[in-house]
Amino acid sequence: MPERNRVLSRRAFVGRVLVFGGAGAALLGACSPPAPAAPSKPAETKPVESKPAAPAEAAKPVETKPAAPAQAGKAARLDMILFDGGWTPSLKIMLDAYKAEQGVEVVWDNPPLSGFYQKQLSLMLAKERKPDIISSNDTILSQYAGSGLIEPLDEMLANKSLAGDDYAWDEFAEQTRKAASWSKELGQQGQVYGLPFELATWGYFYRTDLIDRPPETFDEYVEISKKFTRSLNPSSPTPFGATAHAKQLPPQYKEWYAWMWSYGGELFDEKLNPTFNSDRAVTSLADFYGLLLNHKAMPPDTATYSDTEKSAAFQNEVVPHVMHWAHQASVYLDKEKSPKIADKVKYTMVPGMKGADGKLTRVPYAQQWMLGVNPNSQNKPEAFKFIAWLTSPKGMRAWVEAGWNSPPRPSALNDAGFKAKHPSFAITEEAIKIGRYGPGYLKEYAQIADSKLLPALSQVMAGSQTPKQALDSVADEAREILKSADY
Amino acid sequence: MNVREAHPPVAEAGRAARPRAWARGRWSGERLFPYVMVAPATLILLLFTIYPTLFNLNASLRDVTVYNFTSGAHRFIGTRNYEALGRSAEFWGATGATLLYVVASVGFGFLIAFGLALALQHTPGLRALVSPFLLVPLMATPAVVALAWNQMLVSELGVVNYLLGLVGLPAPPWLGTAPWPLVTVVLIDVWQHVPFMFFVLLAGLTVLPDEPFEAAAIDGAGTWDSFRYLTLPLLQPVILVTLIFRTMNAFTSFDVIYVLTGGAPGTGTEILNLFLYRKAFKGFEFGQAGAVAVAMVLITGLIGLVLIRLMSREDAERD
Repeated sequence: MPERNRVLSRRAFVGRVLVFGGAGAALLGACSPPAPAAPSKPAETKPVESKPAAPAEAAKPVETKPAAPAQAGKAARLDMILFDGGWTPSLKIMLDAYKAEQGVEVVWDNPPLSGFYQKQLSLMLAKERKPDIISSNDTILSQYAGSGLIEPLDEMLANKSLAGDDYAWDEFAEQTRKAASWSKELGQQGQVYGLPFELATWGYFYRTDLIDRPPETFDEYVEISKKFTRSLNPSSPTPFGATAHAKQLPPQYKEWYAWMWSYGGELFDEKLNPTFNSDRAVTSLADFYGLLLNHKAMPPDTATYSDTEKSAAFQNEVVPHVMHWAHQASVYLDKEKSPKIADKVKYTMVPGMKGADGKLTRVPYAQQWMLGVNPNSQNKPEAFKFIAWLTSPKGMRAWVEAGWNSPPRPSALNDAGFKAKHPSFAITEEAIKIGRYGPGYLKEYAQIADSKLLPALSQVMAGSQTPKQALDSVADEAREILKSADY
Repeated sequence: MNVREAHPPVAEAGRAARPRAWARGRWSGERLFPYVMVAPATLILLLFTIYPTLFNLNASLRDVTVYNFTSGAHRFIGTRNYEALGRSAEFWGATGATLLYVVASVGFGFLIAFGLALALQHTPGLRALVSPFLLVPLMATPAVVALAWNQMLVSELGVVNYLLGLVGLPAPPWLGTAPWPLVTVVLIDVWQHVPFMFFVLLAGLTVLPDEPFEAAAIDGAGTWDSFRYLTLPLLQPVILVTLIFRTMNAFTSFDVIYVLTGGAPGTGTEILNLFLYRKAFKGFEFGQAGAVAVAMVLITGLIGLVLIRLMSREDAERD
């Protein structure tokens, strides 16, 4: 049998290149991320002269999307994703209660926080129909809303057959409602994307047997921290004077914000120029992290401390005080959970700074978590009905009675009976008036904070960059991100 | 048997003797058979490996972010993501940290595993006693490993520093200042993966033929000579396979470092996987994350290729 001639002619070669090249290109095209159905301009946000100052009159929503089905159907099962948190035991009670009351089972996927964000985001980007109920906080809500990953709720909120007659959206504080809303036009009234179920603010916890009077200012806080550092004061009863959440997770920058805002710093100016690197912001970071870098007043491995290690340091008498979420009172005052310190802990508002006029400015960080609806869900009205039930005045009271300790509704926070059971409500109630959220109106904020600010703060904590160098670099990168988003 | 069966008509006999045209040609059953057999595996490979790989490659050539992912309003930008990566000090820092981490954990782990395998090669009793303990880290979930070590290493409260203090040794800042956190994650990786290398190397050692060693002993070869000129060359294929598996495995490290340090202090323990995670799930720059993933494939592919060529050369020399 004659052997086949394997030498290709030029024509055959060109032909094969075209065939295989075409096939490869087609395959690559088929493997492309989702393509637009029609030419469209990506959602852009125009720069405005001022930050969004107008309170969101969420009771009169604008820009409402075309109607969602108005009435809840008869879904017997809803799926929800929300990480495993302090709400877990009490929320389980509420889910059981909803099933008993409405006959609808809410199946809760509760991954740990460390894997929650990417799991939820992956599901949303894949346009999965499940889960029906998704969760967000004040930092990421605008990103989800700006990317079309979460359903606007205004229409359903206005529908009493879904929200209930007594939902009382306006009862929420103005800041709470603003943090639950977003508009692509900065400074404009936004649509509501989440119903708040958690409001957390920072408090200052201290050992009464060591600290007579809690510090009013961060200067005093630094002095107390130095006093209780054994390397600076050999008679100190504690080895270190302070600690911090310095692992690269959002509480790292949230803790710094309390310093930065009190010092008079801001993240952005009115024209959205990044001001992370203003003198006041740099000084606040230098003072805060100087506790480790200059005074060795923090444990040497603070750079990898999360809330767990920070709490453990306070609970085990390594440090005499700590700044932490106010609802941690339930842990620090519990004799079983904190046997070494429970009977000698008090808490109050976080320290602040005095201005030139002598006026004290305290700015605790405020955070809220919300439940929202998956835009690809087949059970949107039913999903909304559940979250409205859970976050209604009645639902919130029932939830607090079931053990929940961070409700955002003033009617629950002000309740005398609840206050007696949860003393941290007094801090939250006060902090809600003076606390601040991050600039959640900016959909790029989470990206800037999590991917640029966190590593920069960590570089400072590691001593590899000065506060000025690190914050200059964040400001440049933030400027670049905002520029590429056409602000 | 009837007449027709015994004597088929000539035309039918001809058809039986001469297969149909399609069956004779390129698509004969015989030729199709192997393709049919590999089709299910190929489909699975296409679905779970090739499609995601091509998807990622495509994303790396586009400006895909969280904001335009679902709308599809992203553009083809050629190699711009790769150019940005080339200019990124963070990427090169992460590459350096990765190489340091892989070389240190694989190298150090190999020395311990090989030493242990040699020591236990001829002591079956001791081997049986030690082996169950060595299996424990191998079976532990990485996240649990990280949490457990975190509790043991935390500066003021961890048991490790407490024990060091008891014997008068200084307590290093395991998770504090550089370079200790990188050293710590290397040590934990070594602790977790030495057993794998130990068991593979031990299996290789136990099946080495006795004859060459007996002949060498008769010729007066010492322990070192036997090791240098017999054990090492005979075990080389096993060593190379172990190193290839372990190196590739070390490149995929993520969980322990993510839970233990999150890349801190600074970006001191941010290996490429963590950098990729930051780009994708904190920066939401999926296009750039895709470029990082492609770069990682190239780096690991290159290293794998070198190791495989080493192994092939060794095979050729032995043949």
